[in-house]
Amino acid sequence: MSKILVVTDARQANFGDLRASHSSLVVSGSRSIIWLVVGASPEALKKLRRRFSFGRVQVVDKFELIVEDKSTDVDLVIFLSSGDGLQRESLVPVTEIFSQNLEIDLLYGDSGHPTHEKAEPLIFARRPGWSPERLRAHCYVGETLAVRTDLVVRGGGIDDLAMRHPHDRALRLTENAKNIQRLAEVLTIAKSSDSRPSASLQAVVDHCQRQAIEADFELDSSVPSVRVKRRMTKQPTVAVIIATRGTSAEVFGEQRVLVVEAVRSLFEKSTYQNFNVVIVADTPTPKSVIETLQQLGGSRLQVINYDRPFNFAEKNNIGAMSCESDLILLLNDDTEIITTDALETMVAIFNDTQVGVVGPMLLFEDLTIQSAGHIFSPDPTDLYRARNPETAGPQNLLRVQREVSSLIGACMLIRRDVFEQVGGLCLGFPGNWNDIDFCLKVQLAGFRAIFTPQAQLYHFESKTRIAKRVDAEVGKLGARWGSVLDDDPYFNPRLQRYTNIWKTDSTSKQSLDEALSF
Amino acid sequence: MVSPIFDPVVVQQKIDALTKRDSEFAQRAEAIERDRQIQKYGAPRPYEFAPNTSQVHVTNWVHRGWLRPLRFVYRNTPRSLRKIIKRLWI
Repeated sequence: MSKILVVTDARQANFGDLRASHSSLVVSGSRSIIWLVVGASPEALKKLRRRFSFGRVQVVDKFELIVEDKSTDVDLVIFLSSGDGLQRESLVPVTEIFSQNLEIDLLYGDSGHPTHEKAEPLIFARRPGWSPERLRAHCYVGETLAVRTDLVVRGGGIDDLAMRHPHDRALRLTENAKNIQRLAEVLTIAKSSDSRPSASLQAVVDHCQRQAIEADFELDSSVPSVRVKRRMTKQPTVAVIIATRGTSAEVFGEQRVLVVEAVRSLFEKSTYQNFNVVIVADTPTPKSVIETLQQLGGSRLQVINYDRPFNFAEKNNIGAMSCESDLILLLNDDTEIITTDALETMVAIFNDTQVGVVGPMLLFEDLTIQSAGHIFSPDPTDLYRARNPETAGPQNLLRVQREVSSLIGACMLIRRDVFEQVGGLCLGFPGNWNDIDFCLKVQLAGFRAIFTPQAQLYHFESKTRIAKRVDAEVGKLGARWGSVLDDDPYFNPRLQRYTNIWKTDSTSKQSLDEALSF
Repeated sequence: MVSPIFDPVVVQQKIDALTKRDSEFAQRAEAIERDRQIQKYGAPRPYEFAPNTSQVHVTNWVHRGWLRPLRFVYRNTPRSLRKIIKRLWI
């Protein structure tokens, strides 16, 4: 690969910051770096040019100088914030990836952040794979981006992009990118100890204007993140499918019939009312329960009798095929609406035609998290199960709308055409993992699965319930989706496995570079 | 509005169509997975969740026994000398 252009906005930088960045470039694994320091003082530039760099780093302050030099051929541009440093030898895998795969035009990676603690000098921001929905909320890709030169030109040019907020820059570049990849290696050692992604409200507003996304915006400065509330351009019909056998249980200290309360919350709490309910009831369901449901729902509720052996997938398929609607909401009978606009929030996400399925945050009775989307680590797990929903999670993961590999079937809103296109829930998974198989089929068909924390429901599942793992089902799921289970694109291979939290697997996977880096 | 269709024959036809589509998707997914396994292992093999290796090997190579004297010497050299060593190393 030819020369690499590293671009740093030095308008706010002091010489110490620039010196730190310069030192990292010398050992970054490339012998031919042009470092474009935008807005640096002449004195700082003079000092930088004098620094010992084995001739590996050529410091310039104007991009025109590079263009005028005919011998210079820049293929790759790296945006590096002042004070941040590239990880030692990190450009080796970067250049390899770009030269081996000509389709990739943007790459981002993990970053290390100082903790000022001797025992653990760095914490690492481990980033998930490409997630456009999440990028609208905050700059989760980090501030260091490796980009092909032609993409930089399409994104507005070096001078323009260099001066922009990292979130704005990332949005502009990704809008024009064709293939975005995440490198699960540390690319940057940041100056800041804050590993949380930054967010710019104005950048998101501009991005949505460019992308013709009609939405209202809200900046949550405590996190920080931007909430993009898509406007409802139409009121699609929703068919709510509830499979039940009329079970009663104690909730909030009182005995209640779960399905009745689930339906009651839909009719009484939800601000979105363009729905009908289809109850798929097992034969043993008490008659009194059916009667109460019919009183609650009236003409908007239909009951289907299910007299076959239990198969959750089949019950939902029958319910979905017994009605007509634009969207299908698969809902467990032990759920209840918390946020009154939960349905509206989820329905509005379907304004994006690439979205196939949407899921909310589900909470236990004690208001701890039941599910915030699945991760495959490699067994499918509810992320942050039994944790406090007020926790923002690493990199504010739990506060933002984002793509996930899979959602829990207890509450999934699905586009009907997508449901039919992928064949609904697989009957071969009668109890477990039909939701996971379904979400992965949706993604195979080219649609995205979105988790939104802005819609919240109760799911009165037992906290201690552990899904029975049947070897045959593991084999069947793995035969279809083994590669995704082993490497969840919205997880990170450097994170701990067999846990439901996002935690760096620090000791076992620490490389020499990470152990010795500055 | 939603208009439920309760004709069991129509519903069954739709379910059959769903099952057919599901098996098509399953075949597509299995073919992709089979190719990956052949590429990785040389032949398809039954899937099992990978063993948990997280934090099992808690020692990385800088903590190996044979490095202990070298680490001791390094840590007890003057700071300026350590800086030079580090600079030369990288």
